[in-house]
Amino acid sequence: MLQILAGNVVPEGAASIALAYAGHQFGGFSAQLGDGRAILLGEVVGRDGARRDLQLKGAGRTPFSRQGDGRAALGPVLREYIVSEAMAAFGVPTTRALAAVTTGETVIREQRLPGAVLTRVAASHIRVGTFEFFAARDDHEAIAELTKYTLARHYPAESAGPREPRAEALRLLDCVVEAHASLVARWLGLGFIHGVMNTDNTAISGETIDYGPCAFLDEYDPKRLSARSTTVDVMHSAISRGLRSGTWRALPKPCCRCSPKTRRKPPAWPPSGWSVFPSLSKKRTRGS
Amino acid sequence: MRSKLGLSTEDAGDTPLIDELLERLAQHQVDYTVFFRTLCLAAEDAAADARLAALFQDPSAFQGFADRWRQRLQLDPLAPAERARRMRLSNPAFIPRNHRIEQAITAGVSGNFEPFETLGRVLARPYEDQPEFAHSG
Repeated sequence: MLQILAGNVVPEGAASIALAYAGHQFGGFSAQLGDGRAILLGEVVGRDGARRDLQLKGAGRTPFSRQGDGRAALGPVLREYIVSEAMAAFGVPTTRALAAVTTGETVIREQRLPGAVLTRVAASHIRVGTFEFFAARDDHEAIAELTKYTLARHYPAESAGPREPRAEALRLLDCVVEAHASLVARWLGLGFIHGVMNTDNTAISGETIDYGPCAFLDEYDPKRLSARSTTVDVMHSAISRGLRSGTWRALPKPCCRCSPKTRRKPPAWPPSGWSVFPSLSKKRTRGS
Repeated sequence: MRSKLGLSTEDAGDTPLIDELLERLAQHQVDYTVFFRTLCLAAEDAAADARLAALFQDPSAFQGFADRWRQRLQLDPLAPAERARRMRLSNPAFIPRNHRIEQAITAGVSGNFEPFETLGRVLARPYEDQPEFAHSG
């Protein structure tokens, strides 16, 4: 077991893969991104019937590692472990940390640091950037298939209904917008700053994913809540601004690019009947 | 945000009330988590007001908000004890503060995982007071 968690042995029956995706990062679009130091071991179905991804972070090079060594230092591994588990204890949707294993190897960053591997458990690793990957290649067939799969996996209640690709894409978009509005509202309530909320770190499941430069506010400072403006942080900060100004201008623009077949005006924001920051009661607090 | 303030109903004046509070918290550099956790006490017992006021650079800045908040609570049907109980479930006593995470990492890098384990234990029950760890806030 330890050998598996350390990334030394691939479990029997598993076909480990590194995922490709695209993403709007820090205001620009990258059509080709991928797991540079994460390896998806596979999926497990829990006793609760839920299907989850098991991923090793820091287990070594992948085809997307570029100049990197694919390893992780112990510090970031412990940080993700602590913060993601705290997030789960808060009751906020998040990936979980199953294990952190030191490798006994040294990784070289600015200095020599002990290496480690984190086992991350996620509802899935499908992100907005996964859709953008295919959208950038005008691969409509792949988008339709991914949409169908994602709806069934994450929003099964919305899986029924018209099966035409456009209708399915719109249903998925509504689900993801609502899940993320809810997620960001929970973050704001706790004073959580994600820090790298780009579309490659925006999970379709609505879970918090990627605990890199994240932080919790000490003193309340709205500027800091929105300071690290990245693509989806724009949405995050616009929600904080909306809260203060009483207007809602945040539009998840990248979503509108996800499927060339579904170009349309973004949905009303927040979705009708939805109350963002003031409470999570799903009651309307004011006209959107 | 209503749940953080102990409001179970909605009122048109809530947004201005919340805005005013956030503005004062920012202006007086008040710790977000400590403020809301202490506010849970004030929902049951106005004696906690002094502790809240002390969090502000100018303690009188709290009073203006407190008066409006209490007026608003009059319109809300929850009993004080129930309100405080619900507020504690929206306002954690513990968050993963960066300096604690850094301490746990620094110790872990030199082979001591005790601070990491302790932090994990405290944060597994973030909505409970855990007075034995109060200093770790």
